[in-house]
Amino acid sequence: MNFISLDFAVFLPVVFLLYWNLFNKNPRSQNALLLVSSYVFYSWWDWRFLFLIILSTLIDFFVGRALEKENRPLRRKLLLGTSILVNLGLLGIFKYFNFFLDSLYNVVPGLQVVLGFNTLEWILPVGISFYTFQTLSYTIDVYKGRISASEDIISFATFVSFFPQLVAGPIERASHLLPQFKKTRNFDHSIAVEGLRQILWGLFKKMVIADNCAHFANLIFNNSENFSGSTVLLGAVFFSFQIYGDFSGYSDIAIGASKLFGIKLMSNFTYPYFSRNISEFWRRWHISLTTWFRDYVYIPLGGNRGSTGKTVRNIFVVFFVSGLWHGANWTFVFWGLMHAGFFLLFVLLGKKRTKSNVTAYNSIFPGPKDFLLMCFNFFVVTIFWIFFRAKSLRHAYSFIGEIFSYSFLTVPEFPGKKEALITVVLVIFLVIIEWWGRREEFPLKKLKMTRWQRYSVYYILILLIIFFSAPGEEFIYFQF
Amino acid sequence: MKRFLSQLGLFVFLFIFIVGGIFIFEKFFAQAKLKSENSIIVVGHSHPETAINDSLIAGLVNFSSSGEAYNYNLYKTRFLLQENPHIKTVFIEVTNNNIEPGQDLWVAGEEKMRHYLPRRIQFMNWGELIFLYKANPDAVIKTFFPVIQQRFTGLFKGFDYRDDLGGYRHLTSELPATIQVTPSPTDSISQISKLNLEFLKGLVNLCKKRKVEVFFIRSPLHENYPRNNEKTLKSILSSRFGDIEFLDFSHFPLHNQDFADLEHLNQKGAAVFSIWLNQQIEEGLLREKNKEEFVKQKIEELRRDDQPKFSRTISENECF
Repeated sequence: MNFISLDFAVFLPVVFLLYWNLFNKNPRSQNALLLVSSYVFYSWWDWRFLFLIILSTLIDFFVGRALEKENRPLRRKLLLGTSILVNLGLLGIFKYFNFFLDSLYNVVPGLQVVLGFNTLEWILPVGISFYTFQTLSYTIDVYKGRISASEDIISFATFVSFFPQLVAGPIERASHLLPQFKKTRNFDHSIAVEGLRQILWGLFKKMVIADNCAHFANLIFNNSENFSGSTVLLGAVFFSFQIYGDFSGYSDIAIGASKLFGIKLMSNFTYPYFSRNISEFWRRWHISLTTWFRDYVYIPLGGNRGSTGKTVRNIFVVFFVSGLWHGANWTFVFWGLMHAGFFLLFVLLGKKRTKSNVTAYNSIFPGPKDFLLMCFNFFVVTIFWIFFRAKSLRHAYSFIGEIFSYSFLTVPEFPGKKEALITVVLVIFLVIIEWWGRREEFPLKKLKMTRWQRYSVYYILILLIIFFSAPGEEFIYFQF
Repeated sequence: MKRFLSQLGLFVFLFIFIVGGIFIFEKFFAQAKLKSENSIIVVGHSHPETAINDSLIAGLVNFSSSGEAYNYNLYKTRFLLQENPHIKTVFIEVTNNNIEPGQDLWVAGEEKMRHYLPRRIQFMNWGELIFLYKANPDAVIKTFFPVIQQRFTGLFKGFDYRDDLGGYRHLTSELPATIQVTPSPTDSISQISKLNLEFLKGLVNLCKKRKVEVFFIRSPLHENYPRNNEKTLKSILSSRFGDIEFLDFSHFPLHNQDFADLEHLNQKGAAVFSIWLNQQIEEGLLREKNKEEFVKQKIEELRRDDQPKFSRTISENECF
């Protein structure tokens, strides 16, 4: 079930009313309703997907219980290995099997004939990259003794399949989310209102910003050879805002919807395009995934505590895996590696943790240095996004080549230029609002206004959505 | 919880109140006034839209619109007749593709609904809206935003729909002069649209109820235009609409270069045809006892002559 659909617009209020009026006696009944609702939500795409998530849930629940009781190191390793094998195995088969097989056949011609089988034809289950990582983090944390295993299968299953964050995150940690399912949630008016505001803001980012930018990004990326350098760069900028509006919009809707049920999810985006360097960018973009890789890949490999060579290796491994997580295509891997290279510059120059505060926290405008750093960082990230979006590495190279050609100095020309101007104005509006609200979790979080002023703000946003929402594109991160 | 629900309810109610208010305001203030001398209107799809240049025909206003099915024609015509009691004659385009099964998608398909429902909903009643919802609920729901968008746009632009209901559209492309005439068989297709023909009946009944003369017309078509359902068309006209005269201009003699494609005239062809049509109306076409025969004869005469009797020297002004 897509967040931007009438089905969800009916589903959410129904579950909300049942949750707070009929199922609010104790945590067990609340969790039972959330679990059933989550399975309904997930099976709306394809009921067959349920088998996988239930399998993953059961295996990790029983592995966790067994780990709690088991003291022998070898047995504990075997149990953990089982969970890793099942979760990554599912991910590997559904997401990467065809990719690796195709790559192998390209490298070793004739192997296809020898092996005698072709790529498999099956659908990638929605959200598999997200919930497998979530359950994997649970079993690893139980193994390491960071958390106790859950004794209640209902609350655990709800933790795995909680519908607002099931298909595109944030990827939650058991230590943060599971305890919330173990206690009774009481209705909090201010949290619920905050949730609705965050949903509205998310809808604006997705339907107005992301979907409008998508139209022009697709037009330019799909015909890049016919456009000038300046137009092609504009296409890349449109994609930067498309992916930000799309993914952060989805996260806002997910977090806002969770607040309606008294559940607090972690922030996934904290204004990443206001970052002053690549290190800061990765502390603000898709935070749940980057912290997952930091805690379960980078730190176990040694982090930056070993030699410089090991630090370099660890950084490349993390970004390589992160790129691969995004998709079964070498463009994603290359995208990850490019970020690794740029990130390393900061590590090796010892500047990694210099920018951890909100940009220009005590001023209205950024200083000239901060402004230039933000622009430069945005430019670099946008160039890297080209690899993320391009159909192939060759397409990405020719796209970048077009940007850095003499035609870069011309005025952009492409069909629908006037409509694109409206999109640019909307993007500027987004940037202004987000800059104004950058100290908060999301811009509308604290509106110090009278009720009628707040209602006016909401109505303006709703009208902007009605007037400027573009024909719906699917959420980009559903494909991961 | 009660406070939350009551505040949310107030917010939603206010929004519905505002949007509903605009709908009601629009119903009261919508208008499309024609001059008193304009007593003939034309409704239909892209064929008459491109064939009839109403600036060359006295007393006639073309309200045809590309891709518009008879249901949207009905809602629009009802509004026009209500606003302009001096309209005496309605020409309705009826051609081969109007009776095809695919026309049902024009009536209730998502693509056409996305375009026409926001632009015609103000002329519809609840029954008609419910009909469309039952025919295609998904499509109606998907037009929710464009419908609200159009209401707010109307609020800023004003509710004068004179220029938004259709009108002559000129095309500039030309068929190559060297196309050979190869007419298609006339009886190979017999399936017909259900919905579109029902609404055509509704449109005819509306005109009769308003005591307005109604005629079917068929705009000029290239000889190569596929008329695979010609016999079916004739059969429907005689069996279901036997009391409505059918003014068939489809064989009006034009050169290849007067057509933009096999079914649409370009600006030159439209000018030639419109000047001729104007002449026929001025010479009493609408007063003839048997108009169908009259038109047939006139067109046969034109086709018999090597050169048409009217001037083909069209000035630039007449082309637009």
